[in-house]
Amino acid sequence: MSRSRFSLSRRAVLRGSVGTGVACVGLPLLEAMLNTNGDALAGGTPLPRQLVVYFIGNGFRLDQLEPATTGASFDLTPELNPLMGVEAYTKVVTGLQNWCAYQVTHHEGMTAFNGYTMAELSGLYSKAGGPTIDQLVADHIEASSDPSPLIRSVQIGISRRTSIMDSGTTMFAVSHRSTNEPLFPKFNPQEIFQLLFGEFEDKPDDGELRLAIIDSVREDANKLRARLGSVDRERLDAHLDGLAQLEEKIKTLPPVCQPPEMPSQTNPEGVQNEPLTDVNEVMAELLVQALKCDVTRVASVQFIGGAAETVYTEIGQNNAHHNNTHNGGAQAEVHEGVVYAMGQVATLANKMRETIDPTGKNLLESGLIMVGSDCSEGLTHSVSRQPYILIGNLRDSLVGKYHYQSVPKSGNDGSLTASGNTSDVLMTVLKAFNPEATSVGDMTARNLQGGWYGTGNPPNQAATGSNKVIDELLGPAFGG
Amino acid sequence: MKASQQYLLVVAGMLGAIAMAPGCSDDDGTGGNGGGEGGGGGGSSFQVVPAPGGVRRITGSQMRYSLEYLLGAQAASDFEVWGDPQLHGFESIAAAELAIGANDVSTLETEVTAAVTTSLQDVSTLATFAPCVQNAPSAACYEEVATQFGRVAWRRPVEADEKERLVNIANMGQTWGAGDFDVGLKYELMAIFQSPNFVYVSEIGEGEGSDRPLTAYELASRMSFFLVHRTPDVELLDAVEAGKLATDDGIREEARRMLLMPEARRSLDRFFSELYLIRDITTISKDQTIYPQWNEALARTMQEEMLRFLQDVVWTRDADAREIFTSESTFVNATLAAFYGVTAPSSGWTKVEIPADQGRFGLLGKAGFLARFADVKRTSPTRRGRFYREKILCREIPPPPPGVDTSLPEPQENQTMRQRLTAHREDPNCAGCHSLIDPIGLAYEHFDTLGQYRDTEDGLEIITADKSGDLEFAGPADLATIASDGAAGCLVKNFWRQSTGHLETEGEEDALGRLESSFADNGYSLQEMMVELTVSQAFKRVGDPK
Repeated sequence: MSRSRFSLSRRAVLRGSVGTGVACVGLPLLEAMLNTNGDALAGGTPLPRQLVVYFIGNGFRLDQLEPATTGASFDLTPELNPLMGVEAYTKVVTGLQNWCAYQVTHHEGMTAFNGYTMAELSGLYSKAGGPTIDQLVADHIEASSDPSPLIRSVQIGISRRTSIMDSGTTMFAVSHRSTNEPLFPKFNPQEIFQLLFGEFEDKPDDGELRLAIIDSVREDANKLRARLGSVDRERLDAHLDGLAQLEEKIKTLPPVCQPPEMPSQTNPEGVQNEPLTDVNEVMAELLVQALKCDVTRVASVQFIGGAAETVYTEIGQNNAHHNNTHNGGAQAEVHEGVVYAMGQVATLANKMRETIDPTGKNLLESGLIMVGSDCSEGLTHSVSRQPYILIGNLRDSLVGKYHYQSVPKSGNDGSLTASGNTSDVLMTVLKAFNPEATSVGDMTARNLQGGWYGTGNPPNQAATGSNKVIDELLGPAFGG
Repeated sequence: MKASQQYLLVVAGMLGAIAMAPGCSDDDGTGGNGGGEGGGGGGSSFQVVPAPGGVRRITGSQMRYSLEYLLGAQAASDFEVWGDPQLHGFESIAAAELAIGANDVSTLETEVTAAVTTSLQDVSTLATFAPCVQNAPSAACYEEVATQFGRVAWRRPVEADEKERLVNIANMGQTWGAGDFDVGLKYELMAIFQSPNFVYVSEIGEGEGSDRPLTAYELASRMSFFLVHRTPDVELLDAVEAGKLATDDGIREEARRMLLMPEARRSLDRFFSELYLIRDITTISKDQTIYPQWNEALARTMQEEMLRFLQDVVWTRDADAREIFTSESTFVNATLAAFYGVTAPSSGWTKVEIPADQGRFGLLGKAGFLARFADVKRTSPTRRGRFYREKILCREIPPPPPGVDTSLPEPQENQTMRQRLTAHREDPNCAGCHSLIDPIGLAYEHFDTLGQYRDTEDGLEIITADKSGDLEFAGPADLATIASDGAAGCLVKNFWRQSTGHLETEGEEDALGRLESSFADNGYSLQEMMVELTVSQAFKRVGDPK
């Protein structure tokens, strides 16, 4: 950024004089900055669009999830029914194959968010093979927006229970910027509040000093960096990126916006029943306010981790949802659990639909929630037919309601038909944000190492990544 | 040890009878340290190729304990900076491999600001390093803070250019604060704690090449974070400057000094809590309709019992560490006394012997372990068995093959867990590994999902005798003996991983073997083992920065 320190940024202009101690004024965000057509900001920067990846571990009941018909009109199924309030924005993608080269259970399913086979795989240990879709989108936003949002991306966790059998980073973070830069979720709403809105607080105007510290820290970092090997340099560079974000946060006054109140919910650790519904509600509210205020445009929410021991006590269950998925006799409970989790997605989606931005669009018209899991059918943990639910239109880059199915479902749950590539969905989402994008994930074709769930023999070679866009999902902005 | 507690080693040839799935073998998995005898005697073949050097991020808890030492307990009390993920079972390995995210840098600033602001309410701790903050709080003091306090926070002398920057920030702060000394001090401290020189622990070494000594300051940091989980104290830095770490005896002397500090106990608690997953007992759910007594207080009590037991072995008695697996004593308060069926103390905690007929030996007989490695509704011999093999014996077990239905048949009436688990052993996809895991866990079936003793499983007989690969046992007593005989190398290996922040490498095998031998020679004193670890060639040297 070439902007000089304390120059009057867009936000400063809107906010008025510096150091008045007023947390906000009533001017609507962005309004003053729209061009005359209202389709971009005055500087030509595109209007804000948002991505929230919402993760629900341990799969679904496909017979209760996949709509019976395809195309623009389909009936919501029992597991989609909680989304009825946002039906017009809901796209369902079914039938695709996840081409992760190795399968160990759960880990390969996370490939559905980045298109890379896991790194350093050993037993139930792995790291992510590459950046996840939310981080690719954050990269694009950072490169194409001036100013960028204060926070590049935020990672939210709801259930604190995580897998007790898995290790590494893959199963513990939905978002990864690189193999060694997992972005772990924060589970405490107060911490999320502090991160998103801490700069709104009325506090001493010591920005100049904080920036001087950052300069000094950066000099220390560069001095240290010269003595390091490549692995540690990469780590220090990530730290330097964080310093740059902090610097921007300090230089740029917070957007004009009414920050929410600090929540009282802390999502405490403990053996007691987890207050999942309330935590999700509070987190969704914080996130929606942050999106509306343009504090951030990218988030991931981990509702329940893969293989996590979360018990849905609030709907009367007393066994872990993950245990239920593995139990052929508990599939009714699995279904109830999935419906409950989808209801949590709906909490966020409905809030986004109800929230109107200064261009008169609601946050589902401007943004997108991408819902996915680490497997398709919970019972088998298969990665064939791993579904996605896309809620939102991204300012007409995506169509409204649609069911795209690559191949009809047949076969029993242990050998599901599948075709296409789950990474095609990642490519489609990336394309919707960045029309220049050409591929996502690892494009190297390789032999699959067992675990083929599809019918017939597996192809000899397949790439985990994709360069194929699902045209049916592209909206009017692409002439769709 | 009673005769009945002895176990038999099944000769390797007999293993042929067991159907092994690909990828699952009963390799003892030692890899790193072998039997220990190999490099043990320090023979002429002894050779160490040090692991790569570089920097490790200070973990969140190390940062908190360092702030406590540097700024006082009050300032550090609410400090919470990053979640401290683990890799390969240890936070220290994650801190050596993973980068922090952009938001973590902001969180660091927020948390450091809060801690520093609190510390200014009472500068007595800070004044132990830089007395001028109390005696002569004027602009000249900023340099003393940079020099004296900075040296301890950064674990090495602060260089001239660094000092100049810190003092400049302090002066800027004082000016901005209308001449208030404390304001300048606040921003100087904020700069010190946000610097990579505080956040990253240097292990780059002196000179060039793939085998170089750590600098004495770096060695002091490695020792201090290992033994007391925080920045080196002034005494240790003074020892560095007096050249005391140049000899093994000098290093030993400093290590022993540190082991006498209360921080060493806290540090070892953390190690065991991490290694044996004691720390997450409080996050385990149990079916409240079956186990209404399961609550946070009980879980915390179980944690405390395990830590008190370990403290007794290591600190109170400096006993043979193998007692961790064989001892029939434990510590109880009133709650646990009822749990174990022993007489309750009139108040607080007391050491007791658990009735022998329960078959509770060492850590593996403790409620906390048994509850932690059970399911929500029922026991999990698979989890208990896997813990035993992986955490006690360091024998890795591969995961289930993909596509396998890992659910067990629904329990039927008059069916024991052993009978339900026969599916694991009959299905060739499962048998290879589960025949190694399940039998061990099934030996603990006298302990229910909470770890309570039961004579029978709902009226059905519990059979504990079985074999697992080359291990044959009648029950928990034999498994205690097996652990006692086989766990020393694994324990050494885990101390190594935690203290150095990496998995042992081939080049460190001899060093680990020698360490294991000295552990045996010193009567399996963990205190002595920790001291000897700090003088190991592989601990004192590093390769090229990674």
